[in-house]
Amino acid sequence: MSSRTIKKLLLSLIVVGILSTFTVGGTYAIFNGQTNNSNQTFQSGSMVMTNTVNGGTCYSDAVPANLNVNATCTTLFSTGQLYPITTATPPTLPQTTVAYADVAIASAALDAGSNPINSTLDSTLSAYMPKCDASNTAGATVTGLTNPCCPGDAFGANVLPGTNNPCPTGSLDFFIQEYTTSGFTTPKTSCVFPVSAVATCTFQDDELGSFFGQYHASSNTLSLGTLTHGTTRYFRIAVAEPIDAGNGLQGETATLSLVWHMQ
Amino acid sequence: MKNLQTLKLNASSIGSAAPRSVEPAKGTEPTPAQKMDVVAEAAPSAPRPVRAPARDLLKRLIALAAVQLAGTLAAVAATGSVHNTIFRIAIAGLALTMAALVAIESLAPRRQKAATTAVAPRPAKKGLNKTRVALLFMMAIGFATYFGGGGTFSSFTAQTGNPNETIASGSLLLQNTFNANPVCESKSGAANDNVNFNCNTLFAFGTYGNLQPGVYAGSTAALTLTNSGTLDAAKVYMFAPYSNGVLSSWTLTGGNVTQLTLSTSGGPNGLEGSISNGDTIVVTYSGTSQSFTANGSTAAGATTVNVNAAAPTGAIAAGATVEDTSSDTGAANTNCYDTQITNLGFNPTTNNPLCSTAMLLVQETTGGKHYCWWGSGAASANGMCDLPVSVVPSGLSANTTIAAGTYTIGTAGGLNGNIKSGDHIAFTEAGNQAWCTASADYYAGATSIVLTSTCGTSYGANNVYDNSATITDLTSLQRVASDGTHSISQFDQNAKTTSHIELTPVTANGTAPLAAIDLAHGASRNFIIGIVIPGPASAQNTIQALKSTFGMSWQLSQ
Repeated sequence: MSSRTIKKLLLSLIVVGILSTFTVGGTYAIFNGQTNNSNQTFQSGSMVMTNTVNGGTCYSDAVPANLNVNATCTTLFSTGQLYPITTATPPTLPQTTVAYADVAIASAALDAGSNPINSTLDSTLSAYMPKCDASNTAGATVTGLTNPCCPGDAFGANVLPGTNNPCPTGSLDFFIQEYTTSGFTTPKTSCVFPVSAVATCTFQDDELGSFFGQYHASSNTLSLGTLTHGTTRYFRIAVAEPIDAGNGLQGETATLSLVWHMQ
Repeated sequence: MKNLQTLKLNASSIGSAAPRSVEPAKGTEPTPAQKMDVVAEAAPSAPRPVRAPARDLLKRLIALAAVQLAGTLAAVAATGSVHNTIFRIAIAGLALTMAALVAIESLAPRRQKAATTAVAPRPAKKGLNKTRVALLFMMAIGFATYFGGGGTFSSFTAQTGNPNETIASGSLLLQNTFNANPVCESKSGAANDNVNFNCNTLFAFGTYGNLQPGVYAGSTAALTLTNSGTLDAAKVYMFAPYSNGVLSSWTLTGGNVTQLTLSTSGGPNGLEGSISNGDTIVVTYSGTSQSFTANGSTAAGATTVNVNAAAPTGAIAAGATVEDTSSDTGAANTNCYDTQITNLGFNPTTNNPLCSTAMLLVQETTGGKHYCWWGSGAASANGMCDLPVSVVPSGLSANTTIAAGTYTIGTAGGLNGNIKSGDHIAFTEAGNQAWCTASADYYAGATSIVLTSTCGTSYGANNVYDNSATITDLTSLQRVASDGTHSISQFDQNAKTTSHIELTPVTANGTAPLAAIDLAHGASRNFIIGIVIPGPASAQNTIQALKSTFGMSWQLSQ
């Protein structure tokens, strides 16, 4: 046996040894067991609103970019000139002496394909008045210069009753009456605002200022209770010149906004 | 010199067998080590000893190396680590062969080479002397005897045998049980690899209703993991799977795989998660895996995945797991994915907003010892996740005023979350909410709570409550709302397959030290898993009417 052959033999043994070193590591088995809980699902609910007033309907999700807020719903009322009422009892329709707006608030809307959908979540409905601007009535021959929203406050746009809360007496009459159906004939068991255990609301002095003074911010709203998903509630909003309206309210205009909020 | 020095390292073990050409002068016998130096540095004018030819030296060294090799193999075998009979016989044969080679090389006549210079007549080179040869033979025979079967030279023998020796590998099998549903076994997985992607869903669509921010709906699931194998599991891991599916079939084009078709049953419903172009798609079946490259993007829930053409390399069959190992790197490509229940126009699913908002909470409850593994409150000292509660009371008479005292939980199973000492516990009913303060920690399952006199009224009145009230933990909901790091999306990204969470044994509330065994065979561990949509102050309309789908994985390992 030549030394060359033996050298090759020894070298091959070394190679075998090296290969063993590298392959042994892969021969040890790792036992494991694994389970997987797939397809876990949960879903978020939805809360959308339809606001119907005076034959106009608007949906909270009408403009996707506005993220379920619609600030361009139909105007509640645009009255002619009002005069002081003679009785606190609300007149029946049709009438011309007070401002009425019958509003239906539904927990439903249209989806992106304009298909009717209901909310899937119950919500708490609330309302607030972020704006009640006083101005002199256009063309009025006499202006009393009393702020009909919140007496004592300045006239102009976006004046809030921050320094006059609650507002002083002297504002317009205001109430929110809830009805059981879209016929707006049968009141619910109590007046929503001014809060009263009596079923039928009546016109009371200073209540517009009271409402605006208390509920003009989104952080402090009038809770209207639960709005069950898919259902509708019916509210009449009423504004009138007080029975004992002072001359200061002559020739003045109140321009107000009412926000309905579901949460 | 270096070579010689290297060889000297072996001298101590081979010295007695090394042939010596010339006897050194008496009284100057060098040690074996010194001997090499003498050979290399002797003065040329002195009667120099005749050096053994290099070929002889090489042969001797080879012979000795062979003997050493045989000895090494014998030592390895003697450790008991080798039980293979063929191997033992092979070593015996090798030992005998080495002995024969030694004998042949030692006893063979030596050729004389002509001297190139005039030197004193050199005595004929001797081979190994007979005594040494005999000793080597005895050594070889000893090896052969050791490996070939000792005891065969005796006339009287006694022998016992233990036949039918068997060895068996153990098993690590994982059982996954959700609430009272049937047990899901890892061994039953369609991938035929002790991996089962088809366990019960913990949160099924609609089970907990339509969730809303800040309102806890009791959306929890109780999970039990059991090591049903025969081996203790050194590790128990929890992690988020990649975007994955179960293979139904694949499409071959010209012998190459070009499309994977996913099943809608037996695991995820189609693709759980999404796939981006160029992602690595690993298909695994029965221990065999093959990687593909996604050819185009695939939406969550899809049932076909296009891949760059590649020849199939292994035995992949229907039921194989299909995983996108490039996923779980951002909110857009997590295993959790969102779909619209209703297209409201303002609720897009881009970047899976509900997955990114909903909080996941995983709390262990094994043996009444708690540890929060994931979620707001993770690793808290008392082991509580900020798992909110939503239960009803019992024993309240009509028009109860909430005040200090003990309140019994009327919901079956007791508390479905935790209450920490000092939390504000609210009673809500019919547009009214009043609260008092928890006097102590109460873990999920507690059947009564004691409230202190630190109370208040959130809204409405405080004398209107009865058993219809809902008890919630206002403080816990606030903590969850302020935690921004434990959404499902974040679980997918931070606790994905490659960064799994080891579930070390819980030794006390809030304590889970490292241990040699995470789950002994036959033992179980219990968990509560909760989902909460936190309710921050700002509107979250963009997550309305969405559905999130996700998976959770659990693994036992050696």
